[in-house]
Amino acid sequence: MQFSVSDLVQIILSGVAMGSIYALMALGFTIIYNALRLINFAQGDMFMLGATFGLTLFVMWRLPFSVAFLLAGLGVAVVGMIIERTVFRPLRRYPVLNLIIATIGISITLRALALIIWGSQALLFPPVFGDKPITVGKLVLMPHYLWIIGIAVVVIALLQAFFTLTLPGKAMRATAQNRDAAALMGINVFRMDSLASAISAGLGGFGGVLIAPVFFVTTEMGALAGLKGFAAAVLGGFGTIPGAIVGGLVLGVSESLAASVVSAYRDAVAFVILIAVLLWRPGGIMGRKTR
Amino acid sequence: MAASRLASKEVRQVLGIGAVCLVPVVLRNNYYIHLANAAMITMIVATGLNLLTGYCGQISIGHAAFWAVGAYTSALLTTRLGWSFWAALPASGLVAAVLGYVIGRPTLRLKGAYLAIASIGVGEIVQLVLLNWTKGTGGALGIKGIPFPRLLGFELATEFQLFYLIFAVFLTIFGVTDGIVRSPLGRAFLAIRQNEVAAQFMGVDIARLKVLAFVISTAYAGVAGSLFAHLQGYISPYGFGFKESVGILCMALAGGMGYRWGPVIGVLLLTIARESFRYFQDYQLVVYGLLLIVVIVFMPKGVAGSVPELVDKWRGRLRRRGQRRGQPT
Repeated sequence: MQFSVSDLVQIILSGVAMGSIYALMALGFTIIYNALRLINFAQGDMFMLGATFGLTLFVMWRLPFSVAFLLAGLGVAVVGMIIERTVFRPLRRYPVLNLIIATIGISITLRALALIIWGSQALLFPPVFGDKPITVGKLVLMPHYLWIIGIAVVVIALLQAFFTLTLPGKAMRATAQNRDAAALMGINVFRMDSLASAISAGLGGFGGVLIAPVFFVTTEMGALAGLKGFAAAVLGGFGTIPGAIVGGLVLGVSESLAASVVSAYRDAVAFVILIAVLLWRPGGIMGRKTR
Repeated sequence: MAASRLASKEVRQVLGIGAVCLVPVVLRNNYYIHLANAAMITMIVATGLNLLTGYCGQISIGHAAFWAVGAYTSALLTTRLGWSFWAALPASGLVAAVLGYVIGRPTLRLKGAYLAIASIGVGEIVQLVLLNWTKGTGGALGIKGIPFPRLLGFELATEFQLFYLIFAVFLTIFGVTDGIVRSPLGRAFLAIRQNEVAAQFMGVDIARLKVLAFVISTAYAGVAGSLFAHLQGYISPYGFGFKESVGILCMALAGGMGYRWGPVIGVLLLTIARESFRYFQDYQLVVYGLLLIVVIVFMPKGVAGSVPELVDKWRGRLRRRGQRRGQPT
């Protein structure tokens, strides 16, 4: 197969766009893991909820996309907060496996509820970013990919500012580092758990609304996206924020490149890379070498 | 005293097995017998997970992949190469175990939840290969016409007949697991679950034993897959995904990890729950998911672990109340 430069740029651009979505998902996994030491298998469903909320707000209620985008993300964040308060907090002292299974229970419940509300058919989200390709010289670029990358960069920059510049952000990092010491310094660690759960759910939600205009919206869309976001987090180095971003981008681009060669195995790329990383560099790309 | 206790234990075992053998006669309805058959196959997988997680403390979230490998091995050997079921059954367990070894050896030497993560990846890859490797696995169409097992010249073709075959295999696996758990090997597994470092200091080769526990559990899944293929007569790549892996893990956990009867109780409980919630139609899965969360929140050790504790607590409260009433005199 022959690729022209223009093809290659397009493949990489769409890879970076998908990669930024994976990065948002991976950040969601990372933040909740750092706060609660928990792998949240309902993260994919936050992604799905973001897309379905966005669809309802934008298509049914006819709100402008920017408002629908923000409200959908915030709505999912509230769902995350409720889940933390009702399920994660009572389970804090139980073995990790119980918590993981509880997140799976949440996932089953949310997906079934969404199926009742939005139905089993794939729903079309109108192309808000325009569907006419932009031509720059010989390059043909799809505008939605540029928008996805731009918005994801803004969201991640805001998140980084929150963690480094604001007091709650610093308190959250302190809690992740040493929970007891943070509590002794007067940080309300339970409020930090709530906040972490809300932020991580919100990130998933933003990812969902962003991707909705590119793909169809279904209640099952979160399943694979969740697993891939998780793979991205492990790939970059589980539990670190730069790791999640790098992991997401690497995964997105390699998936896009692989898809142009063997499209049937597109979805396997994430997991092949995941296992390869576990075998040769279990700490991830950005992580320390651990044994 | 000891002899009579032993005798009574054996009598109880025979009575128990006899009672289960009557189950299909009592159920009569083919659909219910089919559910019982499927439940026993799931119990075999759950028993392996119990050994791996409940006794050895390692987590696998991709066991449906090994189940699928067993099912496809058996289906291909019998339909393409004309093997008999009796040769394909152990072969399926063996192939699944070899794959388990290949995955388990590198990941289990690492500390932490790496097996859990890798097993998710393996689960997805196996499903995609089954779906896309059309030449080998029939792709999305799956494999049709898997023959029924033959015993002494007779074909075991009805749910009723297959019940006894599956029950016999389940009983063997349950017995083998019980033997492992009671042996020094089982105690070494428990030591790993409770404290890896301490176990290592006592001379337990933890990396090797973790791999062994994983390989045994994948072999069980392979055997279960073979039975499943011959029970259904038809298999497709759907139905061996992440959902199924997680479903079996949920059952094992709800029943009680690290308890002998845990997997049996869990599979029965959740199978019955799922079937009776059909009444709720659209809300079936909502209720199922909520039930799962409630069981985890209120019975963190599963039914087999938490119910006796709750009963003890309740009895203690009754006793205390009785004492208080007696005290004033």
